[in-house]
Amino acid sequence: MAERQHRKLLKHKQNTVGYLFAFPWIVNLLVFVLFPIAFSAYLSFTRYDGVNPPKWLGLTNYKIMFSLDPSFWKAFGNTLYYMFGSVFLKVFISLILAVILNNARKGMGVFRTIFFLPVVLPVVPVMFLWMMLFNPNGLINRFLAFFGIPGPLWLNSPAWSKPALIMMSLWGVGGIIVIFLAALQDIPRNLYEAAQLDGANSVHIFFRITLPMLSPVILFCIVTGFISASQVFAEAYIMTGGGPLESTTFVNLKIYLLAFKQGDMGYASAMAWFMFLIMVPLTIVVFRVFRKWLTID
Amino acid sequence: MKWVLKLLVGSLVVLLVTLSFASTRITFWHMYDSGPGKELMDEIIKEFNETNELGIEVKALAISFWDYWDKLGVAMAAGEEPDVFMHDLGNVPSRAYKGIIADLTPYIEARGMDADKLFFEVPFSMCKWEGKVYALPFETDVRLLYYNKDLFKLAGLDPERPPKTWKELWEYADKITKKTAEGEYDILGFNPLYGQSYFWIYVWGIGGTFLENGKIKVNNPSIIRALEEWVAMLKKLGIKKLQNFNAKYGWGSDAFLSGKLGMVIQVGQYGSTIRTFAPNVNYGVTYIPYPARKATWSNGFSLEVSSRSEHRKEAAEFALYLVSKEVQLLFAQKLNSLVCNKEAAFDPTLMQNPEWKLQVNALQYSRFRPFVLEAPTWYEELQKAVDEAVLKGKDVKRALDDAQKRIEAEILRFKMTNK
Repeated sequence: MAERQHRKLLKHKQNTVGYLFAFPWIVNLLVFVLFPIAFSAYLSFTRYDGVNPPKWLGLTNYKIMFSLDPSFWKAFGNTLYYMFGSVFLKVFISLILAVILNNARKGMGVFRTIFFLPVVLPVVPVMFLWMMLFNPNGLINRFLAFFGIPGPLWLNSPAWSKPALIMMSLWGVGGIIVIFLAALQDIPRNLYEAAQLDGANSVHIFFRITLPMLSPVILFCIVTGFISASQVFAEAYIMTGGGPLESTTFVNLKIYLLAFKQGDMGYASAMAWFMFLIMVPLTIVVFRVFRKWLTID
Repeated sequence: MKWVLKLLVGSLVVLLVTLSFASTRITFWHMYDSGPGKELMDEIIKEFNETNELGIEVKALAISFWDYWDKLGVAMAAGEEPDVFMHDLGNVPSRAYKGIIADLTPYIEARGMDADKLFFEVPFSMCKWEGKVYALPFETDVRLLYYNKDLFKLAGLDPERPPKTWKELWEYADKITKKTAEGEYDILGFNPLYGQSYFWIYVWGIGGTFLENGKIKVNNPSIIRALEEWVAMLKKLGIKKLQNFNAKYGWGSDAFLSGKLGMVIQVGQYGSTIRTFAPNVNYGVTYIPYPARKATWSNGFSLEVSSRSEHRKEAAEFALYLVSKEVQLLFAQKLNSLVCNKEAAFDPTLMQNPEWKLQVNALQYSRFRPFVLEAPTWYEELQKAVDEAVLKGKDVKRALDDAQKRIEAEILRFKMTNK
């Protein structure tokens, strides 16, 4: 009996110690994450200029967003364009590269490092590098000119600015490649051996074994990719300022400009909450669609 | 026991003495964070701290222009802004409306100062809101036309006779322009998309205005005509070729300093930039050529006092010191900055410098973009219309009509949320 009681006490004590260690993190979560999130929900129903106390407006901010502000919908469209463009392209290309790397007899380690290197580089200098590359007289256009193709104005052209940013986002494929490589190594070898014995060619093997076995990882990469791409901000803030002609004004940039440049925190909060409420069902839809396409254990 | 009493009395005396001499500390934020600007500002603040009779001690913080606005904005949101600070002269009323900045009229009146007479009218008018003065004009600027005398000579033009009208500008520019073998611009006479050349200066130049009965209107016939002419000019030069030309000079390299641009519109301080970075460029400077009447554009920095400061009087005192003749003269002499105090600006030795005289004269007819409380960034919508017409070939009237609609929606939005 005493033994049991002692154990219970010990467990209790252990829990207390555990919570104590987690305490700083819990405080951080409550004060700096959950409270601001909840407060921004409140602010979205107010006018708040950052100076005077918030003034209750009811649904006015949302009404404005839906009826009076086409620039918000433009920003929303830009964000969707970027999300779909960059995520699928990134996953597709990193899948190809990962399979090639996985099959290479030599140099996998070296190339894996090379592809991963951009991920660890600081973002801002890299963006300046890309701005040079995208310069109308920059390296990319000179390369195109070599083949007699007149290059576009890239970041200075309303039509090409988003594709340019999507191209640039491929710079970060290294992160996904590493995940794919790990998943590829996890596929049991006996599956491949069995297929080879049955005389399957490499195309068959890829589509019947590799792809299905990778599908949970692909889904993971697409979902996390969507969420992070929906928050695209730094590229537009640093490289284009949202231009030309608002073609790279993404929702997050718009929220930032509204909140911190125009001092319209209430309206900016309403936008942020709208984005959040869109992202939740969108993630669910992506899950549903891909569950049909891919076999998931 | 006696020594305890002595000690007590002694420390009390010391305390009283320090208290009676204690200064009022005020904080001041500005943007002179490096070079001669910082040296001068430090010197001036030191001088003020030592000589002012009210026992004010200014503690200054210099922040780079690029970080200044975010830092100040966040400080304001937290209610922690400095007692006195520099800000944008172009949108003083928006802060006055929010109630962040103090009405300075009583402090100006207490001094018996005729501020309307003391400051240049154009920048000082930007400090007023509903008949009261909410800021002091510290520094302003004007845009002028800089031209390369060597390129003028090369094109067979008289380097001492710069263009006066817009028509002359294009005549001269065409003579200066040289193309490469591929048909791209090597040397360009004038590029309306480069430097500080903005569409609104052209609108003012043809005699147009953005205000109609005190309301903003960007689609009136004069502006439509101006934009049609503007687009025609750019089309004639080739928009893509102009952008290619500009792209060559975006990275700390300047087309005019490189001797590849015949004429450029720049702010008044550009002269010292040329002398510092391209001393071999033989340049001249003149008023911006105009289609119908002289026009140029100004912007600037104000000094404002926080309405939440406990030391508004002392803060205002310091701000008034910074716009006094002696201090403004130092800024003009040492930093070549276009000060708003007329007594300083009209200083005879300064006026002997033809470039300075040109700036001061241009300030008489220069304008700020009109301020609209409900849509303080209305000009961004105008710029968007210009870009749509230029880059996308959108119909000029439709582009401006749409911009007007967007501005009106913005005004409506303001009214809906500021009941």
